[in-house]
This record gives sequence, structure tokens and C-alpha cells, in this order.
Amino acid sequence: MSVVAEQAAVRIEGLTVSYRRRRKLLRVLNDVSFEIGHGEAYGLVGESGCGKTTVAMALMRYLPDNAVVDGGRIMFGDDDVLTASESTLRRWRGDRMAMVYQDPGTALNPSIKVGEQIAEVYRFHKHLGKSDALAAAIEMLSTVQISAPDRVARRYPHELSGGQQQRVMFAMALATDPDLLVLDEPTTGLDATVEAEVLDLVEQLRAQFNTSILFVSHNLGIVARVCERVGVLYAGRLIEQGPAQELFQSPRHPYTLALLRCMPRLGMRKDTDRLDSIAGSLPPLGAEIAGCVYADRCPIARDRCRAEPPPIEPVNERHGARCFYHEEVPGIPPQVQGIEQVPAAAVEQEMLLEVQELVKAYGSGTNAVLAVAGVDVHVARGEVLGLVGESGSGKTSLAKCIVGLIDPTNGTIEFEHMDVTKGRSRGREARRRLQMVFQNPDNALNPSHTVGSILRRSLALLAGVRSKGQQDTELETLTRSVRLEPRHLDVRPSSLSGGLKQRVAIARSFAGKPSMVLCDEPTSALDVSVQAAILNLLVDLQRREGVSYVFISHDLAVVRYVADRIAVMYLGQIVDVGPSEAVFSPPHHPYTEALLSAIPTLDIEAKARIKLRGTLPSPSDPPSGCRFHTRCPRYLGDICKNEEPPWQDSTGGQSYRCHIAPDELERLQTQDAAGEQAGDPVA
Amino acid sequence: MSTVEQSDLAGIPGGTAPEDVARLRRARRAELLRGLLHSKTFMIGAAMVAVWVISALFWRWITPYDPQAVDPINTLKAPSGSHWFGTDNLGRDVFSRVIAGAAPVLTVAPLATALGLLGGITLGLITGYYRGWVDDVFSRLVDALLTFPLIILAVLVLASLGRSPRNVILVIGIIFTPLIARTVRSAVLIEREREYVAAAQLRGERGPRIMVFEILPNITGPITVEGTIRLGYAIFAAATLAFLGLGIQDPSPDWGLQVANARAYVQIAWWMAIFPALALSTLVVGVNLVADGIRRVLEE
Repeated sequence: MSVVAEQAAVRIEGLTVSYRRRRKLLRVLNDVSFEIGHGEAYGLVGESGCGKTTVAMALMRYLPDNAVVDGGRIMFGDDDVLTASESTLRRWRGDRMAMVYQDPGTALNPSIKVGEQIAEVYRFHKHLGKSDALAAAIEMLSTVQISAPDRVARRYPHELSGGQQQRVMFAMALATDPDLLVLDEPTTGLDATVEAEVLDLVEQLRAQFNTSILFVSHNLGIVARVCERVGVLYAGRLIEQGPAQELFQSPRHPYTLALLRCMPRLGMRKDTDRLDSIAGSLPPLGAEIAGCVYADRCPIARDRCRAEPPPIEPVNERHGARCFYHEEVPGIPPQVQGIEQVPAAAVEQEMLLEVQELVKAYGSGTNAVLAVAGVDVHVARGEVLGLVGESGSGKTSLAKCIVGLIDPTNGTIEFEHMDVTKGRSRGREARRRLQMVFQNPDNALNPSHTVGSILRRSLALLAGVRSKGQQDTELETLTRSVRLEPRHLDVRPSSLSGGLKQRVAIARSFAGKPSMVLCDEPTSALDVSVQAAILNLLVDLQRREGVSYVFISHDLAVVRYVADRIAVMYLGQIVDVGPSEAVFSPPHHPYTEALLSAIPTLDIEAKARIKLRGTLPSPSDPPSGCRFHTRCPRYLGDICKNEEPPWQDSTGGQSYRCHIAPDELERLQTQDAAGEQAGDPVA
Repeated sequence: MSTVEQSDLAGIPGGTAPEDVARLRRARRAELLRGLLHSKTFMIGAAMVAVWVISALFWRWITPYDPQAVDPINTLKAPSGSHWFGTDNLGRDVFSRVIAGAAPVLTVAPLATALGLLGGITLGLITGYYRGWVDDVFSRLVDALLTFPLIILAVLVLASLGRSPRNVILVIGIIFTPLIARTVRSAVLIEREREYVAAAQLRGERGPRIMVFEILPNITGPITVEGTIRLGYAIFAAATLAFLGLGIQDPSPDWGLQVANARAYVQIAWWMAIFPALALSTLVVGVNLVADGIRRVLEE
């Protein structure tokens, strides 16, 4: 379908793979074909269960034991990876192809110094002597932009930060200058600013080494940034493929279109826009589907789609979609049926939650780590406060103090005019009115209880509904409010999908008609299309019940969509707080600015990123003066190092902690943005 | 409204009707059972254990002779058609005594294990869930206990309490308690960090209820494995104590006791020692194979 350079670096032809499970073969990849040109970065995107990791593993022939290749070839130059002998493969892996995994912490050997781990690759593949190999390893470390490489080489993996570990993985993968680099979600476990650094590194290394890259990711924004061409996988089939910008600008498969519309784009607000969601669910693994795999969920599907599988229809010479009616795709209206016309809950003046001078220390004496170092937060009735920060910022500790799972070391928490500082002495009323939705629904629901009994228990304890009959009616209302069906009540959580589990968890927290719910990354474990449905549900519930949320997320687009006010945390302190639009527009705290610029977006006119220096300092030994001064891109000098910055009030009710005055900061930040647009077009 | 926002409402794989849901729940249990039935380790072990369980229950009908009947004419006879495993120094039929000997072992060992499990689970839940000083004190006590050779401890206690099957059960059970508690505690430590425990605390559940209704059902796997392994040890411990003369007394047909009696005759009547010893080892090996099989199926 696409005319890539005459000879591609890698050519996958009709790859079909099944997994054997309980004596049955379940097909996970069906006739997947694509090519990666020399020096090209090819992105493979799709939601969980679509088979993207299987493709990556098949390329390296690292498939698990229960995988069966039913057909196809993986041509690597003139050789087929699938039929190569084990000894040939061993030489190829590392020499001609290398892989970087999602979790660098487990991919590195914890008991060998990182320098030696990289040197090993040189000794095995390039037959270098011990000292030569180590010298080459140190040089490679500096290539992947690790500062003080000779010192880092002597460290063990656990002494490095996540970003540094991933750089070491890249150094190992690139040590032999492979023809193909397979990256399997290489930035998924990393914070936004670190992720941005790693992606910069990928781009830079690609220019330097001219390596072909297969980039597997669930994040469309990242793929759009890094890759030239993109393939979209759905239920084991490659359903669309084309140049990245074109595919994301004008998708020609209904699934790609729907996926793109599910993502909250920066600038979308819950008051005006509703997120699209995809009806139905992924077909079960191994299902025999006669026609198009997406027909059941497709708004333009007809009889023909259910009868025969569509071939890849060319849109143009580089772009194709597996859809009979791809020409109609641009005209599909947004699937936002059923907006509940509930007026936005009015944010009242009354303060619901007031946190003052909150300190949470772990450990004691000189070893004490201040996870939360003096935070003041308030939330009004009916308001959504977004809490943003990277790992180690203290946002989860703050949340746990607020709901009463842990006791703060210092400071006070007042909720509905009750003193709830000590979590354990909270009365039922306080517990009922202040609940929490956890990050990982797999963990938050007891696997040995049925959904019904989980919800009944919450009704009994929180709402005080003890009689069976009354429980039945309340349970029905509760289930309907989160759009679960009665049949879901009889099953255990393990037989529900991630989205359904999160609905159960949400229902549980709403059992006692709370006035405030803490949402700790409620959608970060979910796929994009499911995330959209859950966000819509949370927004509906918030409006209908008039509750307040403290909404914790690392995803700025999500926070901007749901939050009325946003607080940005760095190293245990709030550095920037105000109404969301004010926080998102200049002036913002330099850290907020860096966070914002780190988000990979689908926009073409991506701005140059603000790079943070160094790594996150340890909370046990925070920097003096302004805690951000060691990494601040707008560092002024000694004043930042020695004096704690004052709160500066800016327009629109926003305040931030910085030595730079609002006018000056705004001038700097708007100037930079304008300068980039005029003088530095995207290369 | 039911058609709206269905994004993931059809999340149950393989079908949506209510009967399918019930079927799925049964399927999980059936799958575990099928896993066990397909595990060679488990099946061989179970067969070995089954032989001795049947012997323990029905020895009255199986044994060709009364296991306690003395026959002064036929002492120390080698295995033959009439006495398959030969006879002992008092002319008692060794085969009958081996078969009947399963009964005391399979009474003492399971009861002792059950006692140890009861104590161990309780202690393990409390120390693992509450942590703090209770946990510290308990852990040091266990460390101290483990520096003793356990058999000497048992001998000391039995010598002072008196020798009886009941006391053997008590001693083994009490010695097992801290050992089982350690395993349970480490399982609880993992489980209590999971968010469903936090969610239960948030809705105001009390500690004991969280331990028993929230955590315990999720650690039955490690407890089952631990219990089965301990059962093997208990069988061995009971036999050892009987061998030392601290458990059941003669003329009861106990394996440990039989081996002890046979010691004096080993050079002239090997059959007196070898058959009860083989019986003991097949039972212990069988129990351990069962434990291995269960652990592997649970891990899958």
C-alpha cells in the first residue's frame, strides 16, 4: 500500500500470532503487515489488548512460550527472523536489533554496576578487552547525555533516577549501533518532564545513529512527536497506517477518529465540551469475526462490514485504512449523544475544606523526609480542585492526610467546620461526607467479594442503610447512577473490565452521599476511550450531586478539563495556585511552565520545550531558598538560592511563589512563545 | 439512557447473559480443580496420601490379623505368604500393624496442624495488620524460639506435662504457631498495602473485621500451601516423638514406636524396621507432593 524506500530495513508480512490458553488457540495478531524504512521511526499505537507488544516481541523473537506463529514473515534485510537459528538470533539481538523496555528498573541487573553492564555488550558483540569496553561504555553514557558519565558508570542501577536508568538502557541498546531499535512504551513509567527529556534523546540519537525505530505506545501524542509514520492496531489487526501528521489530522478509519476524539485536548473544559467515547467494547480475545473487527462499535457500519473483512483501502499512496467507507470518515459527527442537561454546580462561597500549614514527615530526627512541607489549601463547596505534580511532589501524602488514612505531623484540616486533623478519631459523619476514589481499580476492590456485597457494605456503614429492602432500592439507584447494570452486581471484580471496576469504585465512594471526593489519578490506569467515559461520569456526578473534588492527576489536559482551580506542587510545597485558565496562561510559575511545555501534543506547531536541569532533589534534603532553584530555567541568581520566594498575586486570582514579579514573568513567557513561532519554525 | 455511554459496559468476556456470569464464577473454581487434576505431582501425592487415609479409617476391615495379637510361636518370622511383612519380636503381624499404624499418625498430625494454623493465622493477622510494638515483641520472641532445636523443646515440655497423644498435639501445635504466623504475617504485609484495605478503613470498618473479612479471604493460597507443608512436618514430628517414647505407648501400632522397637532387632529382622519406616516416608513424601502441586496450580 505504501511505497517506502525500495528496500526497507524491516518488512513484516502477514504476521499472524496466537496464544495457547487452556488448550485453545486465541488469535492475537491477524495478518499484520508493515515496513520500516532505513532510519525511519514507525509508531505502533493502540489500546491495551490490541497486540502491539506482541508485534514488538515477535520482531525480536522474544515471544512467550505459549505463543504460536501461525503465519507470516519478518524480513530483516534478506533474513527471516522467524526461521533464523537460535545462535544467529543471539548474534542479531544486540548486534543488529535492540530493545528498550517500559520499566528500566527491572530491565537492568541490580547487582552489576551500570558501566559494566554496558561494557558487557561491547565485550560480547565487539570482542573488546575489559578496559577498552569500559571506556567505550563511558563514552556511550555521555552520548546518551548523562552528566559525569565516569561517575555514573560506577553506580548501581538503584542509585540512578528513573530517567537516568532509561538513558542507561538506551546506551546499552545503542552500544552496537543496531539497525533496528524496538522501543516498547519507553516513557510510560516516567514523569512528564523526564519523559520529555527521554523523547528528546530519542530524536537526537536517531539523527546521530540513523537507526530504524519501532516505537510502541498507547500515547498518541508521543507517537505524533517522534514518528514519521504510524500504524494503528485494533483487536490484532492493523486498521490504519500513514504519515503521522496526516493520520492524526485526517484519520480515515472510524476507530482512529474516535480514539482521537476521546482525548481531552488542551483548552477543553467540562462546562462547554463533553468528551467523546466509544460505544461497546473490544471483541474478546480469539473471537471469530467474519467482517470488520470494528463493525460492532462503528457508527457507519453496514451489512457489508459484518459480512466480509475490509482490505486496506488506499487513501493516497502513503496512507491506507481498513475500511470500505473510509471516504465518509471525515464526516462522522461527534459521538457525544446523551449530554445530561444538568446545569453546572454553582461554586459557592462556603469553604468545605480548609487545610492549614500541613506538614507530613516520614521518619524522625535528621532522617526525616518532609513529604508535605507546609501546605495551605482550601476547597469551596461544589468546586473541583486539580492537584498537579510529579512523583515525589507530595500530592498523594497530602491526599491521604485529607481523607484520614494517615495523620499529619503538623497543621490542621477542617472539613465542613469539623476538625478532622486526626484521621482515626473521625466520626462517621466526616467519613461519610469525605470519600476517595483510588488510582488502580484492580487494587481498590477486594477480589474476593462480589460487586454487590462491596456496595452493600458501603451503604450499610456510610449511609446507615441496614435493612435488606431499603438496601436493595438504594443499591439500584447507586448502580444506575454510575451506569452499571444489575447483572454486574453478582460478579467479582476480576471478571470486569478496568472501566467497569472504576465505576464500581466510584459508586462505592458515592454511597454515603458525600460532599467531597478525592480522586487520586482515577483514570491513569485506563485506556483513552475508557478514560473519556469515566471523566464524563465524574463530571455528571459532580454536577448532579453538587460534590467537590480534589482531583489528582499528572495529566494536565485531564486536570484542565475537570478542574475549576488548580494547585501545582513541587517537593512538598504548592508553588502555583489559581483558577485553571489563569494557571494555564502566562504568567505561570517557571515549574508550571516547564510542565506545560513537556506535554506531547498532536499539534503540529509544537513549541520548543523548556528543559529542566538536573534531577528532582531528595525531599529529605530540599534545596535552600526557593526549592525549585536547582532546576529553574528562569534562575535569577543568589536571591533564589538564599531567600524563600514570596507569594506573588497575578491576574485572575492566581498566586505563585517566585521572586519574579507577575508583569516581568508574563513578559518573559509570552516573549519566548512569540519568538519561537516567528524565528524558529519546526524543523 | 441505557444506550448512551456504553463505552465499556459489555466488559464481561465471552457473553453477557446473567447465566453466563454465574457460569464464569463456577468456571474459576472448576479451573483450579482441573489444574489440580492435570498436575502429575498433585495426583501422585494424593494417591499416596489416599492409601494411608483409607488405611487409617478402615484398618479394622483391611488388616488380616489383629495388630495387637501376640503370637509367641511365630516371633521374628521373615515376610511370607501368611505374614506379608513378617512378624515382630512378639509374633505380631507387621503388615497389620503398619496398616493400623496410619490411624494414630493421621489423628495426631492433622489435629496438631489445625491447632498451629488456628494460632498462627490469628497471630499472623494481628501482627501483620497492626505492626507496631506487638509485631516487634512477637518477632523477637520467634527469633529466640528458633534458636532452640525444636525437638529438644518438645522433649522438655512433654517430659514435664506427661506423655499422651493429647500433649503431643498441643506441643506440636504450639511450636507450629509462630512458624505459621510468620508466613501469614508476610502475606498480610503485602495485602494490607493494597487499596481495598484503605477503602475499608475509609468506610469505617474496624480492625478485626478488616483482618477476617477483607484480608483473610485473599491469603488463603499461601495459608493452604503452608498448612500442607506443616502437615508433612507434623507427621514426621509425631513419629519422632513416638520413636523417642514420648507419644503413644506400646502396644499401640504406631510407626515411630515400631521403628523404635525394631532397633534392637535390625540385624536379624530388617522387616520390623523397614516397613513402618517406608510407610512413614511414603506418607510424608505424598503430603509434600500434594503441597507442591497445590502451590504450582495456585501460582499459575
